[in-house]
Amino acid sequence: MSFQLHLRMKKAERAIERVLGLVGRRGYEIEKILAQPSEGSSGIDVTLTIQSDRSGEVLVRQIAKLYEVEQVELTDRESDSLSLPNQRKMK
Amino acid sequence: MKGAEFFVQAMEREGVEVIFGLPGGAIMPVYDALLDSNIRHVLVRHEQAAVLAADGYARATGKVGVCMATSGPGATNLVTGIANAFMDSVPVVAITGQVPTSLLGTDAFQETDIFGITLPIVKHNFLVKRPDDLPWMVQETFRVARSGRPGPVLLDLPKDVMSAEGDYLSEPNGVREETPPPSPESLRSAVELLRRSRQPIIYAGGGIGMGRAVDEFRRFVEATRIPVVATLKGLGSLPTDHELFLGMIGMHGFRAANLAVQGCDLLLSIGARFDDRATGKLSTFAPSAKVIHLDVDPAEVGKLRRPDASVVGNLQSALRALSFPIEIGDWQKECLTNKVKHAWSYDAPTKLIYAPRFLKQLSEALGAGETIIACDVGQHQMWVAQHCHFQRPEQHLTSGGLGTMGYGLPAAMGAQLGRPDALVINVTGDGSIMMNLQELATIKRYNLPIKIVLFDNRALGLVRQWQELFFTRRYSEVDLSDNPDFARVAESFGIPAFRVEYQHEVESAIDRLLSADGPMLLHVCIDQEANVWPLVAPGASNSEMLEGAHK
Ligand SMILES: Cc1ncc(C[n+]2csc(CCOP(=O)(O)OP(=O)(O)O)c2C)c(N)n1
Ligand SMILES: [Mg+2]
Repeated sequence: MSFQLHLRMKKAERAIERVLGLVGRRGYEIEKILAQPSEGSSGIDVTLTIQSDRSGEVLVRQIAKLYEVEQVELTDRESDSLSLPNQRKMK
Repeated sequence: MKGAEFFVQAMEREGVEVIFGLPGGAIMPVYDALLDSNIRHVLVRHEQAAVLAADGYARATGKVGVCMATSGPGATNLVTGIANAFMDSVPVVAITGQVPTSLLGTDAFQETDIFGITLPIVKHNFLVKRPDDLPWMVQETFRVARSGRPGPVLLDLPKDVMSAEGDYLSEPNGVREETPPPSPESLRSAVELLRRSRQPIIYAGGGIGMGRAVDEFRRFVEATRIPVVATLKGLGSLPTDHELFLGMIGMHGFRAANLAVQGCDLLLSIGARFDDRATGKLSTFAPSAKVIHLDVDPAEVGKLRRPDASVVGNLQSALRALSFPIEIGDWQKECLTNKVKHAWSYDAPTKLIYAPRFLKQLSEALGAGETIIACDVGQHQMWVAQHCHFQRPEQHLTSGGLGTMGYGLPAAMGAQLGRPDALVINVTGDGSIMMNLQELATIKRYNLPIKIVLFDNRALGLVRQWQELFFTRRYSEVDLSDNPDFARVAESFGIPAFRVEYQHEVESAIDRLLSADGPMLLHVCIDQEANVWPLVAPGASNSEMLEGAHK
């Protein structure tokens, strides 16, 4: 199964490394990464294409807990929105 | 003002009273500033003990535990303890010195990337590269450590930032973030499931104590009268002797507790995380049950078992909303009958000391006083969980998720410093105590009246048991029969000690230990072949509990 995650992140010390480490550690394989400055803000937009048998929603909840992550969305490969949970922050 | 002075004052405003640590080059500016502070610094003899003591302090007091080390080897010595706090969700702040910012990335003397090394085992970490970032990063370090699901936060402080003069604007300190209550919809579906259930079981985890929800939890149990099982870390959320408490579940769980979970139609998981040592083979855990998962951490929901209802938010309000009477009389009776039927028996056929009975006697001697038991890892740890009585979760300090040998002695130090009036006992093994033995010097230096009970089976016992059962008795590197004379070792640190070998000596030995004014070590010799029972083999279902001889 393959899906995409769209992250809006704060710019911070090795923030992307933190996200990539989490994804790998939790048993998901990253196929593609796109990271670029967010338009109109000082943050970073990251899109990850991920391959895994494990649940994308569980990973979304884990990523949403990261300090620098402001928003995370899960879509299927062709970027149809499956769920756009406005993750409540408890950090 | 120097960065280090500001930093120390900010920690005072955070309410820090004690720091466990050991100095070195890169952290020297902070140690210098500490001389002018009211914060008490406790000098350990190995940084691993500093972080484990901070962990014990945090668990025993509910406050943030703080430890400090220099860069390089000082920082890497903290790693095991940080991982320990991460696995068990303990609010610990680890402060590390770092080489000056101009030398970062140059392999400077005692430079290690502790920020990178700890990424997988912290709730969050900060590297303070600019003096301007110091105030908010300190504030955030403490806020993040204690809010939501607590956890360790590391703050890496380059030496030049600590030495730099600056005008630091102080941020408000001591910020505590309220965890939002669960949504009304999620509560409605939980209420619905609860009303329909005929055979519910409460699966109580460490989150109840960590989330300060013990009172609400007990009112919930009294209202619903649902029988309770606990994880290792959930022990004490209901008093061990409560009639509805069935015992610990899992690999070394109590038979009636495991059976109740296997037979229930509704499992209420409260601040627990379906750890494999608790669930046994996951697909056969509570096989006919619907699950309500209550947790402060949304990421725990559905991680290992998909719940039928999830209630995410602060446990206090969740539990209040679920506190109503339900009709489960027959099921309750069945569970309580099983509890009596499978009650522990303490009459092992031996003149030597039978550890479970020793611990039961110790627990009885302690009574309902303000006591804390910090244990190490191994068979003795499982016996403590099975046979000691706890009134509150803070009374039982144990390394659950990581299983860190060497945890007990420093954790006991942290607990004793945080709760000076409590009677603190470290139950340890002949293998585990050697992992932080040097801390006997710290106990002596600060005259911490910790009582050490050392179960000596001349073995890495739990591993020996597994080799006996699962590796056809091919014993590989588990024999410790050349142990030192532990009583003499303790005495050489200035800590009185004595040794017992026979059951008839136990009562007076416990008496002597508990009535000592200062620290004391009791060396308890037990049978090398004693095993922990029952046991669920790794990968087996919790319904398949093995029994063996009691020695
Ligand atoms: C740091 C560390 N290393 C290795 C282990 C694996 N291990 C688990 S229990 C155990 C034996 C502990 O021996 P001891 O403290 O004497 O306790 P006993 O089981 O004999 O009661 C070992 C080696 C561990 N949990 N932690
Ligand atoms: Mg041993």
